[in-house]
Amino acid sequence: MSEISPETMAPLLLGGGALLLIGMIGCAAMQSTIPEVSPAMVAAAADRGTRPSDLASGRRILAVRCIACHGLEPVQKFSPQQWHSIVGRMAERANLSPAERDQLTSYLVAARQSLP
Amino acid sequence: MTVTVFTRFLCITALACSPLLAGERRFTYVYETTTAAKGEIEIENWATWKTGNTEEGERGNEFNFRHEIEFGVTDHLQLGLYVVDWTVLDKVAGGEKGAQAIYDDTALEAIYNFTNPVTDIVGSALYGEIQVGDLKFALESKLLLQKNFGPFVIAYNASFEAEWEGERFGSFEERHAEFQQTLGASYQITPNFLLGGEFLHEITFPEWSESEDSVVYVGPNASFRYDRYYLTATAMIQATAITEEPDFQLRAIFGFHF
Repeated sequence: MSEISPETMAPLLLGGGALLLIGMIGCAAMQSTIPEVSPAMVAAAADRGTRPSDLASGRRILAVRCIACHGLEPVQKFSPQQWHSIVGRMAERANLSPAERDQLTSYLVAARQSLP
Repeated sequence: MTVTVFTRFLCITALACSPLLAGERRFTYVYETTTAAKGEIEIENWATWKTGNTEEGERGNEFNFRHEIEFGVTDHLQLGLYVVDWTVLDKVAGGEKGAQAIYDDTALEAIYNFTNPVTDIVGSALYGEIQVGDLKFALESKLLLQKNFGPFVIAYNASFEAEWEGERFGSFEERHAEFQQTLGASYQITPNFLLGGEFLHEITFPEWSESEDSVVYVGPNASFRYDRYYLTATAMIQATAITEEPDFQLRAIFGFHF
């Protein structure tokens, strides 16, 4: 194994760091993140008496609490019934209160229903 | 490396990790920007095995242990207490064998996350740590960056540490600084099993002056999680040829969250 000198390594690392940041930003621009709360979502949730603020809270729970342990699946991957079941299973593990569990479920169901 | 030493490492790790807890880490050398949720308590137990040359420059094995309790103050701020950091040295110097356990320090850490790795372009956080031992005092700060793309996570840390050491606390004759960069990538194969790799680069500045040679380690990592428990391990081999540094290191973190 050949030795890598510090003189060679330092610029490589700096360059690598810069590329990483550029890659992150570029990829972020290409990737769809979890959907923003949209008028279609609010309309879908309103039928069940869910407030827009609950949807926003549900999205925040998904972005903060769920990613601490696992990657996020696309919202459209599961049906509303399946999301109910998944959140029900995961809520205890994530230490979600009943209100938080309801907000998260409401967000996921509304997001799923608002997407094609 | 003998089977005996490896078995000893596994036994020590198992003992140190008995009924343990922690946040579900994807990496062992790289910190993630996500922090414990408000009110959540996590316990993490670290075990690191280094073989080759120890930090004291002798051939042998070194086992480092950390036992941490983390607490989510808010959804952005996490505090952690490393109750005890300790080391077991198993030297094979000059044909003589000997093992000794050493208390290193007790440490306090704080992590504040500014942006989210899913909803923001890049997740970011700042990390600060104070280590106080009977023979040392150290301050460490890190910049943490992370991006999540569904099941794929990439994270980068840049850290700087200043350390003072002496024969007794308060009488520090030696001082040095260390700059470290770590990079990790992890892919979630299933919700319970993740595979990835980590990269570590460090430069030490004895007496805060001229730098020593850069040391680079790379290696694979794997993470298993079940219910509230997880175990993450990384095996790193030295990619440079610095004989004063360990040839190989293996770190495992076992954790649980309440």
